[in-house]
Amino acid sequence: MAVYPYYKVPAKPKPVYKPWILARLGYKKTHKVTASFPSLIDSGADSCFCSEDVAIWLGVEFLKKDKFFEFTAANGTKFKTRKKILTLYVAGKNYDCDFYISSELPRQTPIILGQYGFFDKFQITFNQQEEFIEVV
Amino acid sequence: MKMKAVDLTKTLQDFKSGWVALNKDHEVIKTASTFKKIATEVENDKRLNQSEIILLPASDDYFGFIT
Repeated sequence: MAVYPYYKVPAKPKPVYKPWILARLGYKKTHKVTASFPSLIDSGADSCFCSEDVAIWLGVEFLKKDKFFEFTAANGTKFKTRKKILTLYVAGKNYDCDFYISSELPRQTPIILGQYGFFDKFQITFNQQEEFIEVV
Repeated sequence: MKMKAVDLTKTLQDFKSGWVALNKDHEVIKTASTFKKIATEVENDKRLNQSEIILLPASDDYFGFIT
């Protein structure tokens, strides 16, 4: 078991607490690995998501034959993604994980860790009042 | 068990856009307009311990997200 702190960040009218966990992403074909991102732990996301600019930096190639997968945000907005396998380094583990890559993620959340790929690997307990997240 | 949240409110107050790189003490050590620039700068700076660096899109307002 490990516990990770919430992040308190600027917001209007008052600061907001984010369930972020530090994670790194790697791409086996290029052997590139990012520095750490505060990544959003999002129980409402079906899968894991990564912004396109991060994937491009890792050297991920997008091909014409790549299939597009459409997702719907909570406000009903649809956005397109392409699925790639990245290595996720998080909570003391690293493993290959399907990431849905999109140029349409909110700028403030370039990495989203969702049900497939994160919640199915760990038991997560949010405790915002005590300002920590427990990951088992 | 109370754990103190990582408070970035002061750290980020002067950065409204682009990207920042933070050290292990959560101090801003680099800024850049794009992810490509900040990631490459961090990667090429051999004085840095890569595993301790945090990359974060800067904003003065992280409120307003639903998923």
